[in-house]
Amino acid sequence: MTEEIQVPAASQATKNRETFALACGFAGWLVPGLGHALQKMWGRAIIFFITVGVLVLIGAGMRGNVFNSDGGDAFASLGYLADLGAGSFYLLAKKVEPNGADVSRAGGDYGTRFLAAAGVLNLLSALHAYEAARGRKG
Amino acid sequence: MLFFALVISVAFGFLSRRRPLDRVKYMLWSLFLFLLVGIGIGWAMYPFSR
Repeated sequence: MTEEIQVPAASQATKNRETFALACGFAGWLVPGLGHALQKMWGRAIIFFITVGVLVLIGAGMRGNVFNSDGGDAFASLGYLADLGAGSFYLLAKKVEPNGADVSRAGGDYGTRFLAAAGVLNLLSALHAYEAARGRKG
Repeated sequence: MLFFALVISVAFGFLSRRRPLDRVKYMLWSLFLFLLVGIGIGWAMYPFSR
């Protein structure tokens, strides 16, 4: 009888945990570090917010290419996916760059890499937040 | 390149290690490898740059 009661309770707890983990992953993607902040991992939350933010600001400040969804080739599409990884900071990058990209200079080319790295780093961070919420990582 | 390597190394250190000392060790090792590979690839391309 006891087992019959405990099994649904455990199942519900697992379901709640999975929902919380998904929310952490999504929040971590939307705002860098938020997924860790929800789990009170303050150090990681601050570091990811700062590192992704700095990479985006410098990349956009160097007039790197912020890719759009209407990319002409596979590289532009991959660049868009990488940039989109920065979540809300993707929109910030667009705001910082009112004159658009200038990849005719080396600085603009470096800026493009900074923006892509920020996006991919934020995806890694969001994935880590998701895994940590599921209890797989410390 | 140095700044990029530094920022990414700090993020990797916090991402993959939990204890502060382990994080610092990982950051330094990661930074060293970033610079080594970057400079190494730069020199590897040198013969084809002219």
